Amino acid sequence: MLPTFMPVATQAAIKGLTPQQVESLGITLILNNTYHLNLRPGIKVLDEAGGAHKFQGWDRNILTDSGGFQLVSLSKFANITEEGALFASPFNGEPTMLTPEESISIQHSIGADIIMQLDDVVSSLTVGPRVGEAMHRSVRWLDRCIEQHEKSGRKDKQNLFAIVQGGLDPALRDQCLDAMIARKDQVAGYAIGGLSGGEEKDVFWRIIKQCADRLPSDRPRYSMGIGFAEDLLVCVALGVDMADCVFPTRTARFGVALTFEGPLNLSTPIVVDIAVHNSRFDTELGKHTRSMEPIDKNCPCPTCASGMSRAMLHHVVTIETAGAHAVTIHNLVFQAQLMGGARDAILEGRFPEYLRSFFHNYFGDTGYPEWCVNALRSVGVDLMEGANVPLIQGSGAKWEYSDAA
Amino acid sequence: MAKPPAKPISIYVPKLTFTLDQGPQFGPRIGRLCLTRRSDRLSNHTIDIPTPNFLIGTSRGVVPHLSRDHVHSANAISWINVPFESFLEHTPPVPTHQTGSQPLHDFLGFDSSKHIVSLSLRDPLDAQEMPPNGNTHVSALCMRGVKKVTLADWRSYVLIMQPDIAFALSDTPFTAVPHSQKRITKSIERSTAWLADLLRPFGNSTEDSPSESTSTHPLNVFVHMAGGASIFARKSFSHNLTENLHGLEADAVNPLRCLDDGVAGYAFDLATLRMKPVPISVGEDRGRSIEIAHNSSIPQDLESLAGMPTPNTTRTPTSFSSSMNDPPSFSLSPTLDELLRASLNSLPIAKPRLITDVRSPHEILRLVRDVGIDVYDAGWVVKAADVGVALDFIFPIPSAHVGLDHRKRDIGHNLYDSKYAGDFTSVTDAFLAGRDRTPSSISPICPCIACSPVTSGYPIHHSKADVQSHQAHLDDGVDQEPLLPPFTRAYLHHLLHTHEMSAHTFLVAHNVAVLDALFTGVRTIISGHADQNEAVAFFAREVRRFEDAYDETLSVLHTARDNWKDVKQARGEFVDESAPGKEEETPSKELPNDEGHLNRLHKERELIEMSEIEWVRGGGVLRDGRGRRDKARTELIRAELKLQEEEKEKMGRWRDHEERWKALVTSDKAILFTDVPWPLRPAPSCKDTTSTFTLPAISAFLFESLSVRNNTVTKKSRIRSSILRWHPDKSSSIISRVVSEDADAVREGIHAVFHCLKRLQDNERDKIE
Repeated sequence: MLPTFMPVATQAAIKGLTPQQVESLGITLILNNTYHLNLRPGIKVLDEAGGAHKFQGWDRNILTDSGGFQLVSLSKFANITEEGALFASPFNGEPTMLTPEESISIQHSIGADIIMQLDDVVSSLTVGPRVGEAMHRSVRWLDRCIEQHEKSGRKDKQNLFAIVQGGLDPALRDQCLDAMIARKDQVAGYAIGGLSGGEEKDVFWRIIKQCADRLPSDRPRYSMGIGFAEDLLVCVALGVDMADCVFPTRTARFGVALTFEGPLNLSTPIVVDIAVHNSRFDTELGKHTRSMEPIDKNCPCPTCASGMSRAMLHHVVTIETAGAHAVTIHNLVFQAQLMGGARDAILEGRFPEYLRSFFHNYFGDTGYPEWCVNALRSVGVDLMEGANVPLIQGSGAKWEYSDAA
Repeated sequence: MAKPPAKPISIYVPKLTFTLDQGPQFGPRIGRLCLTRRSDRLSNHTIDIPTPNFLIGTSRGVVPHLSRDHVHSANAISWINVPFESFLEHTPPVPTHQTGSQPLHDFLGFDSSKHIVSLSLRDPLDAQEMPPNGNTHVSALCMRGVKKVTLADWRSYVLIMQPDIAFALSDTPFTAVPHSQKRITKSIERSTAWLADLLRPFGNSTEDSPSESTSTHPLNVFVHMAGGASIFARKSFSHNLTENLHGLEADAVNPLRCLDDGVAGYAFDLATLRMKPVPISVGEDRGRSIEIAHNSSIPQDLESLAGMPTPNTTRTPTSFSSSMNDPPSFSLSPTLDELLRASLNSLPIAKPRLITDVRSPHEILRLVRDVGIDVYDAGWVVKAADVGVALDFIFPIPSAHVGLDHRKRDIGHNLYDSKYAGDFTSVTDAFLAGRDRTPSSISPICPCIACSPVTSGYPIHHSKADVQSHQAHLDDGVDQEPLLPPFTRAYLHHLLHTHEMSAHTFLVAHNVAVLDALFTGVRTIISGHADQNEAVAFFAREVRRFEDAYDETLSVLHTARDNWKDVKQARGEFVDESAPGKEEETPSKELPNDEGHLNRLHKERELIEMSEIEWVRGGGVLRDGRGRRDKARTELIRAELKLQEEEKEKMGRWRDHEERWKALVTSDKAILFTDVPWPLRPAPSCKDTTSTFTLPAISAFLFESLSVRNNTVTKKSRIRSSILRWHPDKSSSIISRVVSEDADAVREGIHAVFHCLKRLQDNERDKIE
């Protein structure tokens, strides 16, 4: 059900959980990374297993990325040519080429329900002619991906998404949108790529809005690499349907639990609790060590429902794997609840109230990020209406303990 | 002795009973442990554990690698032991803040209708060297170091946490072996006194009328059988338990006549016995006399790191004779079974016997056969899961199971092995996956989450629309079958090599299920014969068949361990020889008595020190173990931080100086007087070189960075390199680029610096001569 958040199972497993556990959390769509699965277990094993669904025992939906992003970010010597991405093989260091055709055929072996085109990824902070070049090449590569996908005979089983590129330049984005919208009949959905790479939030939301406004309404829109609660809701408000991010699962392993009142760092330094009367940090950081409260007593996740206290979580997070499992479970349910709440609110015509109440609970004590206020005003929702909270410049991302992320 | 907290205590410890159904004093026996919990309603709730069976220990209060839902769904898990020591990091320990009628169950999330939860102070698998205990305290280990726990502390923890079963404190010497006669005697005396202390009647003061108590003690107390490797000492400890008490001693534990009246069960910790060195013995060529796993306490012994029997002891991996028919040993060193029997000999046979740190199915079977132990610790199957081994053995061995090639099978699969990369079968051969069961299949099912996963019937719904979507999914009939296909060896192989934690979750759940099946098999065999002698003989025959069929060297575990290390190393991780399956950023979990454990402690100490430093940096004051402000240590860290800050500045200034020089030399721009990186602070702006370019000022600048603690540059070499730099011959290229109005001043300055440097060099030479 859309809009939705997709947890990331990079290596065909949501870290620490079993597929049945993930399904029991009400999650129906996860992401696998093509680059990683291609390295391990490799295409041969996946083919023998009958695809990634069977391999990992997951009978709900899977989305795979194209492998391009990881290739550029993880491989030391990636070099993009018109033919494809040239990189040093992690196996033997030999130069190896990942072409659009090959990316699609690997994704066919994996067998995900949604597959992504190979795009030419540049960092969102890149400026100059490289951005335009990457955008145009991504369009050309889309054509090659479409062709490969069409002739594979797997169109009825797997759905190809295009990725809109163009950096932070609205003119380039428009050109890319023109070209990709023209290919609407050959693609099942659109992703908005090349963002969340450290760009200004104020630029970020404008690009999202530009793309969401223009993309056809009968195709899902997928915003790549978005995971903070406020980012998700703003994107949904701007017209985005899907998002993925490692953030909720990764931050869980560092002991940070997500709640509707802001993130909660459960893994505070060991010595903190013993200084009780001392500095302002005492109450802020030491409070979990003795708290018999669950992370969120209204949360339906198995961790909270079992009454696992913050004190117990504090005792095990970042030390026992079971501590990571407990917080991961909670964070996945938090993300799902956040998006599920948005679904209900949209269907019932009260999404603006949903946004207002989320921001009130989540940011009421510190102040609203200005970019969120601006972004939501652009779609006619005024967060400041009746709210008496300061505006925060910059990303406004909220951290109970800023070192935690 | 500290007074227990004045918290009003009401004890609702449920009643534990043990019924011995069948069996000799020493030999295969079956029984039943029943825990009857008084429920709020009229009906009582009973947890029933048929014995022989197993218990699983927790690490920091959790069953390793399993989340709470997995613990609850694993029906094999019915007894969980919680070592309390990890909670001593805080004073008072955090779990003591838990309220409710089942504080220990509630805090740790165990199910009071399903789980018996016992509480021990120490982790019975941890036999590493510890500071000595005192007359009234035990040294326990937590992440913040060694803590002294007094008898009063322990009594109060037990009363507050209300475990179903409590282990009395025991004075086990964790110091270098062998122990003197005197030390052993002291150990027995203390252990006896400490048991008596826990068995004192409960009440807020001594005036409490003891007559109100029931005839037996309200707590279910297990006692660790003291006496170490000495048969005499063991007998003497048992004698202390059964001897009728008189006078003050009797009053203290009134109404108990003897301590044993208040004891619910007997516990043996093999970890402490395994650390004993070999006593001098005759007949060294005889396998049975060299035993009691020598050397395993020596950290350098790499083979023992996994806490597994070492290959060089493979001929006789345990002290147990491989046959009951062996003649009694006349060796000076008693075997393990002799030691255990010595303890039990004079004690009532109808009490449960528990053992920790067993290490193989073979050893378990022989303990059932030769001693009649009822409850076995499952730590070794967790360790096997840690290193990627899926256990795969079955008892009794089905008749069709006998290998023709006479090669012994491994007790499990090292799933790191590349031969499993494309193996799409379920993880065991001996058991069927739930989904593969057919009406005609005779093999038993492995019910674990890896072999028999089931669809989650009621996923959480996050919006109203989800309900319809879920229904639609069911209606699609995508998988109506609740039993899903098993997870394959190929998948687990993949998870292990990609360092995914889920691998260990599957493996712990699976290995526990295989262990559970072992005990089911044991009980079936023993109960299958009404005649006791027949049962004993039949059981012994099945044990021998098992020994013949499965490799007891456990080489599969050793190979797996090496592979596990390789994967860690391939990932560029520090292999700390302790448990795997953790995220790289997390400190690793404990394995007792090995180098990894020391490494872990070392890492933990570093972690603690780092966080302490951060705390002080943020303006905090440290507290000592009792929660008092630790001014001295705080000041120490403050001074250190200040020093570090200064050193950083000094180094920074020198680095800037060097950078400026580099920039100056590599550029070809015109140079002003102020562009020259003069060795002076503050940088000279006036061109009066005589008053600012003084020897003290220049030497202060040149040498300040040498006082930094990790400095390796000598004064001499600093002078030398500076002379090379400021030499008039060298500096001519600089001077040629200086703008004309500054040229004289620069020349003078360079001359002044060089002059000072020469004097410094002379001074140094004078000093040396």
